[in-house]
Amino acid sequence: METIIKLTDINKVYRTEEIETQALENVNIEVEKGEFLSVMGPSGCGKSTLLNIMGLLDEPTSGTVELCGTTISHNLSDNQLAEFRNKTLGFVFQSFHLISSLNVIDNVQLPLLYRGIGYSERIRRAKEVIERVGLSHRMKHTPVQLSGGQCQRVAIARAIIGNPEIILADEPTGNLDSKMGADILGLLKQLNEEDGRTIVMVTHNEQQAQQTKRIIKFLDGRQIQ
Amino acid sequence: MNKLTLYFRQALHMMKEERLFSGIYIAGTALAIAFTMVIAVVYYAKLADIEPEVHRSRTVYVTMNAYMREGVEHTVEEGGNYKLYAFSDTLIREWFYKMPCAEIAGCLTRMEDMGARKLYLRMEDGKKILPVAMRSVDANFFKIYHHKFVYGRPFTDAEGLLTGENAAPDVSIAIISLDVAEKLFGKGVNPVGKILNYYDSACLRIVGVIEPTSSIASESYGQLFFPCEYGDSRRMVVVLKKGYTIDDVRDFLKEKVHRLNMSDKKWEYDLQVCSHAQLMMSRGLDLSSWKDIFLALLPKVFVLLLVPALNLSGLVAARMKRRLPEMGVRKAFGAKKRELMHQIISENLVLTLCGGLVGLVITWLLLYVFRSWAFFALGNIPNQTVEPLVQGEMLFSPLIFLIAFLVCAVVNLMATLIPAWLSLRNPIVESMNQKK
Repeated sequence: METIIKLTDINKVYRTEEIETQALENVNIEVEKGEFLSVMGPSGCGKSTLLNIMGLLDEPTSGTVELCGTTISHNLSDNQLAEFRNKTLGFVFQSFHLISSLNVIDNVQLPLLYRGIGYSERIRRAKEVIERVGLSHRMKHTPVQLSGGQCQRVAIARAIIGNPEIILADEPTGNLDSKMGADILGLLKQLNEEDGRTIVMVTHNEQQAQQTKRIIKFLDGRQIQ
Repeated sequence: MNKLTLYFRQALHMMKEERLFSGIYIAGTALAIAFTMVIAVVYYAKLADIEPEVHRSRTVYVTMNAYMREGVEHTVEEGGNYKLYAFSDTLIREWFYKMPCAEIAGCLTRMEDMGARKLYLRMEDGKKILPVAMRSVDANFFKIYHHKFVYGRPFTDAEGLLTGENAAPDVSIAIISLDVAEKLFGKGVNPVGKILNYYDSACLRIVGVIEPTSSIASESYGQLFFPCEYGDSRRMVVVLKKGYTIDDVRDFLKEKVHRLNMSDKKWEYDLQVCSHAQLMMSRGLDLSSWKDIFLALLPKVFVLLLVPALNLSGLVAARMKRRLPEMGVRKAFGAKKRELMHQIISENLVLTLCGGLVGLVITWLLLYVFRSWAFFALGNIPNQTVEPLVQGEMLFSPLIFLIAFLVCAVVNLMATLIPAWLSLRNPIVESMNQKK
């Protein structure tokens, strides 16, 4: 199998004038293409930091990140990183992070906007993915007019519209009730099984984690399992 | 629909969502634009080539002071040892009508003297008395200044400069403005040929009626025009031929004044030559057109706009802090800093445009309600006895609006760019975790 994410000797230290916090310590993870991986652990154990580093939203203090065969060097500019994220990664956040002043279709088309794709193509693809997450009837609604589950569906649509190899989901069901949570997990499983997308999901929910192909556990910034 | 349309749509949505911010931002911009525009309109009305003073940019004004030489006693009639020289008909013809660099030259009573020269007109039946601003002019006056004739005609060359056998006729002729004609004779009546009485015995025969003009165009303004008689012509007006400058007028007259000084043992003459802009502003300034003056004013306007700019900057900074999570999300999905700056500037442009439109309306209201104050206090218009007529061309010059809008857009841009740039420097994770 092809390795799509490779983290080698990752350390992340947060420093202030008074205190130094080791968020991640010597983390080594390899994720195969098409894998659905859960990252579990108590609050503050470094799960989200790990996901942020995988998603190039944050830089490790030391160590190497390889995504889709490309080593992410410190020398890459912000613009190069932005381009790489845009083409390779899709994000789903616990609090959805939808833009409240944009409607569903405009939120979903966001990654394509920054890829320079024309209006009609953006709209066509946005409609396609919105239909796939079952929200065709809500295209013109703004996030405040949607339920939590619907917001997360929009966020998933936004994550997959650019056809990224990797989807990083940071507690995607954390703000949802159990029914809606199961619904969203079902959708992610479908994306993994039908499209072969690699998914890394941070979760607190043991039951949900059991439904993924592999689980890794963290404690105090260290991978324990 | 491109990115810009999407940004504009989001900006409109945010305007509705953040009414307080948008309202303050638009009001701040509108007041800044209105403030800039009022100043710009006042100076434009004073200095630009507008009807009827269409040659302002190449108009030169000449006056001459006469000082009594040392040791010479002045007579009672002479009044004092200084006088504003009234050009004789010979000097007008020889010096000005034949000036090589002049396309046309004319003479008039100075606007500064008109306040004292208000004339009380009486109808032939003696029932109506009307004070009017009067002015002595020659025939060329109506060629230099483009007054529109409603009835009748301008003075002929022979009528315009009363000398020799034409001097002091029994019934003089006059051209009046339409507002005066309507007050005296009623609306729709052609008054050409009618006789006006003033000072009980003197009579005027109307030969023409012009459309009323604004006293802001002070050099051409008048409600009643007489032909120049000796002693009236205190200021000469020269419209330069293309390619000539004010220095050509000075050079041409220098020699002539020198000769006049040589020949007069009693008085010494000193010529004052200035452009329209210098006449309106200050003779000491080396400003030849309204554009020079506007450019000279720009730094002052910028300094004055600095206060609202700093306030707007504070508002934008607060708003950018609220929008940090959105900026973080956009960056996560591939937005580059340049694109985000573009978006913020586009949104700012929508608010500035709204502010511009509101500012335009405020400008018109200010100039309508406070026109006397605006033009006399800011504009230093000499004739303060007449309510200024603010005409369309003065109120809405696309160029002035564009300049005022650009000045404010640049100020707003500066107010936006710095807080936006600073907020976009925040790391993505930090931005996304910022509490709204």
